[in-house]
Amino acid sequence: MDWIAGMWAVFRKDLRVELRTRYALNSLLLFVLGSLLLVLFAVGPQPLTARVQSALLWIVMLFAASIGLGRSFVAEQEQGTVLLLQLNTRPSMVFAGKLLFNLLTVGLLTGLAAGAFLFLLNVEVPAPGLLGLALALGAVGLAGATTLLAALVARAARKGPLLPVLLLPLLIPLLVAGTSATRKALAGLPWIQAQDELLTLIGFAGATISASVVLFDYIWHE
Amino acid sequence: MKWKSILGLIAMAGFAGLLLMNFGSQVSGYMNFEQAADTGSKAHVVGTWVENRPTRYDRSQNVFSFYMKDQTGTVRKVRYPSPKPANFEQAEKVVVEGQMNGEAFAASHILVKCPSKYNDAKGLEKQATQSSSSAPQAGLRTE
Repeated sequence: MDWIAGMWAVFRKDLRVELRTRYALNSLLLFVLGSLLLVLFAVGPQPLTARVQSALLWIVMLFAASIGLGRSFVAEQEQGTVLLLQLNTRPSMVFAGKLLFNLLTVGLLTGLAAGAFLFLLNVEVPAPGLLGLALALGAVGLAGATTLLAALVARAARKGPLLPVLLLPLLIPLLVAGTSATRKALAGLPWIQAQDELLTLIGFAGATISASVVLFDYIWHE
Repeated sequence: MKWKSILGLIAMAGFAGLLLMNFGSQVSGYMNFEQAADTGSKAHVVGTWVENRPTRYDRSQNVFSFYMKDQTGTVRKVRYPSPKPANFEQAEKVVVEGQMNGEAFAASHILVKCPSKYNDAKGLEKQATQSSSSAPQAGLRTE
């Protein structure tokens, strides 16, 4: 009970800070809408293949996530609130709270990006369930990988470009499986054909989150 | 604390296994003829040359055609708008790049995978024993 209360407190603190500064929210909104409008103007009324559509959607999601999510731990470091958190909470509470907050952010981002993408490009989805599941699993994996790396990067001297650099190679399995599953959903293939991709996405999300649970204590106390 | 690490490691290994088992099939890049027909776009198909089916080069149209058996055992005709690649007969594997066109595969490139003359351990041994027995002793330093 205690643990859940602590996690919830960290989550609510992050949410409140975010709603006051709107750092991640504004940058995500700007990036998603800006890049989608750019795609829209560049492509025009031409119909795109499912392969190109899924690639575009995941490019928008990846870069929006790497811009918006790195903030959480860096802000603690810059404002000097790290010690306070270290004194008052256990590391796992901090991690779970931050993960929850990042999940919310990525969920929002994915919903926004996918919704705007499908609406603006006028894409019809033959398999909406598969698309939703692929994007949801991708979002969990994205949040899991970003949370741990953001905690690592916050300790480094030059924080700005470090997170995307570290994140990209780690995310290759997620991106390959995610784009492939999205392509299959947009092409209207049956679920069974996307089984490999979905299992890969589950494996990626589970592996990054359980690795974070093991490793976070060491990162946090160092 | 300790239990958390152990459980975490077990979960990590399990999920990583799941990831690795299912990821391999997506990155290999090679397809069989059936998948190539499904995608309808460019594909790499790996297989072997079927020697006992007609293999010919049409000089007037500049089309080389042969039959190829992919990894699942499906045999399809391959048409290639160029002369026969060098070393085609020695190939242990053929990779064709192109797309399915009806029942035949229209290849734009053919990669011929020949057995390497440098990695053949048995052949090397044989050569080495031959050359050492026949090599003149004087003036040869072998290091």
